[in-house]
Amino acid sequence: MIATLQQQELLTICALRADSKSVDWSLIARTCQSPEALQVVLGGDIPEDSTVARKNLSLLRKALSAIDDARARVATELEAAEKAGARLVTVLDADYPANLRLVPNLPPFLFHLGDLEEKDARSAAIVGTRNASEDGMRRAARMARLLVAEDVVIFSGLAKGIDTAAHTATLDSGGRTVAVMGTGIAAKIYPAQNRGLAARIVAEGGALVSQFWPTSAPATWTFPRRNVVTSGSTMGSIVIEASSTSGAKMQARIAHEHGKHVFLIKSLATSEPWAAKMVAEGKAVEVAELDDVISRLGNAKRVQQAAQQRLQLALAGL
Amino acid sequence: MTHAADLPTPLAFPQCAKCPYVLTGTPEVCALCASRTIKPLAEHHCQLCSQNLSSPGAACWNRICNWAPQQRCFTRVDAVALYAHPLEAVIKKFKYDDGNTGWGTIFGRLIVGWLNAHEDEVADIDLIIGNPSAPGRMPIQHIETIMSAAYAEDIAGRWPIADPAKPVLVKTRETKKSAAGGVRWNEKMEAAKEHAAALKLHTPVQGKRILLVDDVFTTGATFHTVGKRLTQEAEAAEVRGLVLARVPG
Repeated sequence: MIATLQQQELLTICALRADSKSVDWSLIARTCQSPEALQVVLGGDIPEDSTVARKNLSLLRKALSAIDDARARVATELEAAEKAGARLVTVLDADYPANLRLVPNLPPFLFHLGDLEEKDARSAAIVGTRNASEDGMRRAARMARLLVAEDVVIFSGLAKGIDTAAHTATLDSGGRTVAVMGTGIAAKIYPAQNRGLAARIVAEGGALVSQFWPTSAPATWTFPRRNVVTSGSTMGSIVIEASSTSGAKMQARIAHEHGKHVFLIKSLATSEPWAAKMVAEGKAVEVAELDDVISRLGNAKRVQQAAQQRLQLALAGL
Repeated sequence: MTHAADLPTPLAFPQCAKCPYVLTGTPEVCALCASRTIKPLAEHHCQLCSQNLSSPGAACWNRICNWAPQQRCFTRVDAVALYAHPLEAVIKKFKYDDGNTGWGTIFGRLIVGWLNAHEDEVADIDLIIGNPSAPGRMPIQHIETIMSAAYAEDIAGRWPIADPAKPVLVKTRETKKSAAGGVRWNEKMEAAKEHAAALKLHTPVQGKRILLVDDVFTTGATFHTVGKRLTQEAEAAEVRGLVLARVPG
């Protein structure tokens, strides 16, 4: 069994449904970080005072009457994950990624293939458009190589284009890379052309992570949520190439709202109005050289301490 | 404005227990939220001790502020807020009643949030340390708890907060408490002297500009006596202060 009883209870809350809706997963993640809090929510209360908590309270209470369906769903999903060789980490666990504990819309759980490591705390996301130019691909690869030399873990989204260039260059230079997927950990790799890359990431000491149910297929709503986790898992997001309609632009905005660093490559900041605006407003840093990024990244130990402090606060209560 | 990340709104200090950000909050989020409910310093306040003044440039009646600069062993003390509702009750509860370390975490965020918001004023600081409390202090070594939290909450490592694992200044024994109610100058000064005499320095601070952090500021007697040891004995270049709350006159 890949899940402890407590983890199963947490997943069960996530699987609850009423009127074909689930309880808000970020709300669950914020309020179920200790065994006691888990019992409070299973008892039909939400220990948070917010608009979203009020909206979800009646939904939770109604859905709890069908908790057996939720348990069955969890059992099916865990079986699929186990078959795929995946492991599970949740907000209840000390080894939940440290950076993610510092964002308010964190996922309640992650399934992963390959290890999650403490050094992942010192990380940056390299993201950009799927329809990348040759220059863009080259810049993404160069940035990845330079960061690997500084012992930074590279996160990206396993999409074609910039993401592929970032993952590939990281592996080629012997670095560690983590792909945050828009699909379930036991579902078919998306896009199919990156099946080989996904396998290589795991084989060469990296990891694939997914915040979705293991059997989840790609959907239009999964990718924006995936961007939240890609931003949240790292100290900052580096956008290489992205038009105003690109998901990478959305990730830049999310990273800013997360209070993370937003790094925009100089060629992007000088060519895209949205990027120039973020720099002008002080929401992003224009990156001309590596040190613009490195000088702003903190160290992994400090992030781990901040995360452990939060877990202790969850256990002790206020 | 639409929010890309669709984030919840912070509740309001001190209702932190039920706030969406109690576990996930950063110094920026928590300091901004707290600033909506805690009582700010008066518009006109003493540049030395943050005391309320009736008008800009009015003389401060706090005794130490009228000393000659060479006689006073700290240069100035800033405060996050006034010692008033609702901050006052939370500090008292944390310090004297339940000693819940969670409040230490929240206060640590407020300290770091203040530093981030006043980066130009503290850019020249070389070392940030807490005013030590006695070993075994009950219910908690409150300043050490706050500073340890502040160290972790300064995730980017922007500030030279002393590593809690390698304390710079520690208190070796309990000393007489400074007068809890009212401001009796002589008693305050005697207690402050005893407190400073019980401190032990573990790391040289020669030539350093030190920011000394405490929870509450009333007269400055403690900052003066601790500052005296740090500047005169240990040859620190300067001792400046930062407190969570300034007791209003």
